[in-house]
Amino acid sequence: MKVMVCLKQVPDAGEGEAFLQQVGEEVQVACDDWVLNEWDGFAVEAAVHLIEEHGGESMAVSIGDEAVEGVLRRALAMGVDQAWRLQPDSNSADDSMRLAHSLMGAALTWKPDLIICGAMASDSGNGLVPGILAGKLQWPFVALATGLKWDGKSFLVRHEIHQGMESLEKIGAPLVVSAQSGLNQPRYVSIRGIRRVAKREIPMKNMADLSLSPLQNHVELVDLKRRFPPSGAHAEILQGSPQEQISQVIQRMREQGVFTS
Amino acid sequence: MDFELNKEQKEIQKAARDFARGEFDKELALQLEEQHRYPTEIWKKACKEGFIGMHFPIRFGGSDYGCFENALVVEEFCRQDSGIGAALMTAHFATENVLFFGIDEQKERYLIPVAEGDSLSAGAFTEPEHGSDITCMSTVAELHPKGWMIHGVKTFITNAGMADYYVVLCQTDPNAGHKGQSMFIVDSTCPGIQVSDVGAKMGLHMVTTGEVHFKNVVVPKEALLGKEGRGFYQVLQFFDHSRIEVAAQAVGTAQGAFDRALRYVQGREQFSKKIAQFQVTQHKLAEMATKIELARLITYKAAKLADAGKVDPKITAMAKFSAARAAVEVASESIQLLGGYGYMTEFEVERFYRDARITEIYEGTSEIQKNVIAGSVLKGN
Amino acid sequence: MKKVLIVAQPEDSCSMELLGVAEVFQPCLIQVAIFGDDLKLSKEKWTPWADRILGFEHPQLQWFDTDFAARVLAPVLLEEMPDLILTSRTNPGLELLPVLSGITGFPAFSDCLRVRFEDGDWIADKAEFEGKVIHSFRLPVGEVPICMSVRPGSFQTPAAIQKKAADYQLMSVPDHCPPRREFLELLDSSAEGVDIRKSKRLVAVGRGIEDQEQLEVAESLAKALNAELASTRPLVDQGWLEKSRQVGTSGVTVNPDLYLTVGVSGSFQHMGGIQGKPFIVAINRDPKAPVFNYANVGMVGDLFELVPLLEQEILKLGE
Repeated sequence: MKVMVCLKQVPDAGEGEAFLQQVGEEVQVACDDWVLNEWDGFAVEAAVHLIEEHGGESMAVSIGDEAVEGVLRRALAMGVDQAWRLQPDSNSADDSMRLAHSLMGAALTWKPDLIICGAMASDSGNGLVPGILAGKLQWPFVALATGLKWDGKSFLVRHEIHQGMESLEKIGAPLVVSAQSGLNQPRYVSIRGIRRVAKREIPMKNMADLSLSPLQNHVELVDLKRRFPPSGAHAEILQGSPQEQISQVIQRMREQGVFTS
Repeated sequence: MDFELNKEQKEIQKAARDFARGEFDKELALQLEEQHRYPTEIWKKACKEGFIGMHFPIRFGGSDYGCFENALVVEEFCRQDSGIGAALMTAHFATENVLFFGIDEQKERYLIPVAEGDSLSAGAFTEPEHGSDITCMSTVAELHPKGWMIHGVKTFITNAGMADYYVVLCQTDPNAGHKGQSMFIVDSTCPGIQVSDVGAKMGLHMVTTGEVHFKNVVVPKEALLGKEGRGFYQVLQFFDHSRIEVAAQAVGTAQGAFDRALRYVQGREQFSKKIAQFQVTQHKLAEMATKIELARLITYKAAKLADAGKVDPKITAMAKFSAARAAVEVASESIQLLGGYGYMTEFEVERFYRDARITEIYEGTSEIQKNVIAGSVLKGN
Repeated sequence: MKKVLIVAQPEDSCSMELLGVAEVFQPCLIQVAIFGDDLKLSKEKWTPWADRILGFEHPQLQWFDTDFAARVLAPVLLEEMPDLILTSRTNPGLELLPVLSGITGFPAFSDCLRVRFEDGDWIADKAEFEGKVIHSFRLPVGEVPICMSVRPGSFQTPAAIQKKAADYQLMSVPDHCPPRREFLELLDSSAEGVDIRKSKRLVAVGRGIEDQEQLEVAESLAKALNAELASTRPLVDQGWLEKSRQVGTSGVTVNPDLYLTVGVSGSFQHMGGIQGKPFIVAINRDPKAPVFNYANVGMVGDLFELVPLLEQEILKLGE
């Protein structure tokens, strides 16, 4: 089995909001501490686990400049067999259609049976790339997988549908799956793993390497500015000492009839 | 001068942080602390992930990293939890002696199990009568038909009773002073070894500290580690490295206490204001953060020098002395910032303080470090 | 006149809100694509609101197979070339919309919160970094059809859009479109454990709770309030609480009178599971947490200080 896993680096949200900076009227993302998108971690674990269990080969791909080698190396250290860095299609590196186009090139070149992506990226929150990729490849797509098995012939995918419901489905290869949190518990990156892959060269693949022609007639959405949402737009933020705040909140709850029922 | 970690070092730091955040649970730490238990499960996992003995060569179970990378890991571990961090750091205590002075057979036998989580190591240098002054040991090793026979008492031994072997500093020539000392690796299963408790202690509650009695313990010739008569010099060389690790422990402990204090002052309100908004708090934070950064810088410098093969005992001593001081001061100030809560076990900073305090004492007290520094400066170095 | 095509997902209770997006583009032609194995009810529901209804009726659509739906719908989109293709950003929407975009090559915009017409441009907003920032984009309306998913709860079903009863067109499902996903089982992951859907008071816990033992502080408050404990996703993923307590788009939907959040950041995936108009009290240390945008009353501070205090006061009331 061949499993391709698609990775994105995102700002480290664990380190506070320092990476979001108000510059004039807009908020800019200024970050030099990039980490693997949390959902992609589940995707890597799923890929490595499937290969450990059934044999075959796994590959991690990410699109971007040399900085993305960090997340690729992380995937290698976790046990992915190989990694490709894909050269971005153009300057508008964040456009989902362009990203999917590059990934399609990688998929058609490497020919995986399964592509796993994170369900969405924690920065954009879009969740578009995996589905667009599937649409372009004309492969089936299942989003928000919470379980993923191979029965020897088909994939058994458990995934979230609506209202706390999940469905179990059987789908043949090739297909695209997006990983929801809870799909697994990603393994730690071990020191031995980091060491093992430290000297590995990560090949860069450009459009020609992937036999890709540039995306034709694609109209992009125009990226305007970011801003902070109005804080506490609806909430009344209580002031005073904790004790005073508590008295006030009890009062509000009383007014709402919380204690009369 | 390059103040940036390289990519690989950043990955190592991140890996250590992820592991510590994932595995070091506060409630578990408080429990282990209270029950004086070693974090065995976490230690085994840390070994599996390659954190312990990462500076050993690959063929001896390690990943061939240096003192610097090891320091990064120790820092992250102690930052997340001063107690668990210290317990993991000391899991491989004294193994550098095997690494530096051992022959391949010894390295294979004594390094691999430590890296793989099958055994804990210990160093037995201090004696009831010889603490800071180790120029003459009362523990003697005499030639014996089967090798050597060791007799004496070592005290304040970290991992006593838990370690699978001890690296023991002995007098092999009673008339030659520090030039008559030699080092031995003694398996803890050797008949004649007795371990006794040294009593309750201030901090480091997850690791044992005990007295080890060697009553005519017979060890084979192959137990000699390094050269006969060079034990004293070997210990000093070992300390030049292990003190960097203690400095890293101090930096991490300081950072961990600071993190907790920072979080607290941003949440706690007094006089209708977050206490972080008071200038007196802000100045405290500024001083604490500066102390930590300075300690980190010199610790990293000492480690870099060691890895470049240019160990500088003066810089190492400065690192240990200043980082240990920073840890104690920062942890103490953290308690102050938390006020009454700071004095409570639940809020952790008092534990960080107690765990910080050892860094000014073990592996050479701060006074010994100052002797080293002064000696070096007076010689014009 | 602009042409808006609404992709109505069968199980989506918020699909009528998409009309609120269409309203921004008024006057416009509204087409609605409906799916199912029996479209009678759905057809009735949409008839007063649409100019035209496209019905996709097929046994495979009994359970909404988005792969199947996308493949039968995409050719119609390529023919109709609507200006805007709308669907809700539900879990099936997260599957369906990008696949439509991928097949047709139309650009996609995910999780729209707001659309406005400003200085001759169509501007759409979406949230990023879990609601910490709002990012605006200019939509190339008129240049190319745009596939857009809309966050449930962001738009209101308009009071009235003047439409005469819609034309209904039953679409043929082509033979060359065999189903590729075989549904084996429907699993109700929240069926086991406490049912909080009917609870009138809920204390919800989020990532501010850093380990399992810390849950006690919230459990204790819930007990004092005679409330049930609700949870965000991460705590359930950790295995600290049962899945049946998870509120949100991937969990259960609740309809309480009081919703008191403790250390909940307020991602829409969580807040989207709250129906009705409960009184929301939020406790969080981060004054910028999105939860304060939903709450009626907020307290910024340390939950371990505030929650026990609140509990004491409630106990004093002798409720």
